[in-house]
Amino acid sequence: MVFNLAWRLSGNRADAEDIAQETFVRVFRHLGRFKGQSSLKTWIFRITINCANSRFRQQSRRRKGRIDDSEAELERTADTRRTPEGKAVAVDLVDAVRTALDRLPPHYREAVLLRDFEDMTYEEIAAVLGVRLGTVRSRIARGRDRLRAILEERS
Amino acid sequence: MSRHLAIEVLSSYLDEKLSAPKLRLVEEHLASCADCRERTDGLRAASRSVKRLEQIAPPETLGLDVQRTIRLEGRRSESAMWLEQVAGRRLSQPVLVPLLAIVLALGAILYLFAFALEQRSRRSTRMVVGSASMSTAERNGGNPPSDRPNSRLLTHIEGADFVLEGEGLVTPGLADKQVDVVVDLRKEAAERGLPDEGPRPTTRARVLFGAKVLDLVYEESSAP
Repeated sequence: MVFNLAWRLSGNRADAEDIAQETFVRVFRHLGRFKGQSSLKTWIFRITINCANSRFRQQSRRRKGRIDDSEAELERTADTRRTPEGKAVAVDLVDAVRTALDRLPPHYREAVLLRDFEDMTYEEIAAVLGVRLGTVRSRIARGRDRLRAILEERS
Repeated sequence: MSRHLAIEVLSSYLDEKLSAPKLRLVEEHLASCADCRERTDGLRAASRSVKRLEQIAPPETLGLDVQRTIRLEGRRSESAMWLEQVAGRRLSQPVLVPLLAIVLALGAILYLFAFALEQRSRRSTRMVVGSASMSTAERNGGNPPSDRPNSRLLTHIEGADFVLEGEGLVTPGLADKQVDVVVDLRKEAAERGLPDEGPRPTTRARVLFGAKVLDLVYEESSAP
């Protein structure tokens, strides 16, 4: 779950591995600070997003995902029964969505991923991002709208 | 209700986050507004495209990498961790090592400076002269404590041809049997060729002794 969120946030495997690793190290280091005021999942996701953001700040701009990352992504997914044509379509689809996510402002991308990829409630997302419910609602809506526009533009 | 629904309302509608009265209004509007229906479909498609992204298996080495990093972190010095906390953020290794080197170098310089300053201010020399036999001090060692000197010290220094004489306070029961005596060395210095470092009317000699043998230590001080 951490690795998947890191992958979706960063858009590439190398950063995802580093972010996931850093997240687990921080969780181990600061486990004593976890007071149980939120769920453990919420707390860990918050750390994941902080790790991703600090990494992006260090890089000054996010590393762009490459098409071979999309293929590698499909290699790692559970479904290995695809035909070559189906695989090509799937690679294209994964690449389209990932590129679109990559073009979203970070706060929209985080909100959309937590809602639609991680299937979290608005309340959980508010706890992860440390913002109010109204802000969560707004970010999800605007993020989806931007995503829709980018995907339509591409198709 | 305005001509078209806000994007937040449509998105909340997809997530079933609207209250019953608001939901009814939205559904009525969507039934009559093609633009809003189209926009809702677009939002639904965008949401589904993200939902359809598959879960990816993490690399097999992730757990081992985490364990290795935690072990390496455990080996980091406490000072590095302290610096990290003070800085409020994780210092990268290329920054941390030179920083530690600078701190250590500054510490060493400060220590040497303070040591030299202390030596200069005391203007004293401290040297172990040697072992000496005890005479009067031992005999008077059991006397009750008093502010006045209760023992006289007369020592022969082994290997030397002169005698030290002084008086001081012996405190019974001290584990190290320590006595501070004030020794007049003016005469001794002149006659015995001790290093002449200017006028020294008195010299404080701290005598540490065990059962039978005195270890005589001179602590010459400019302080009265």
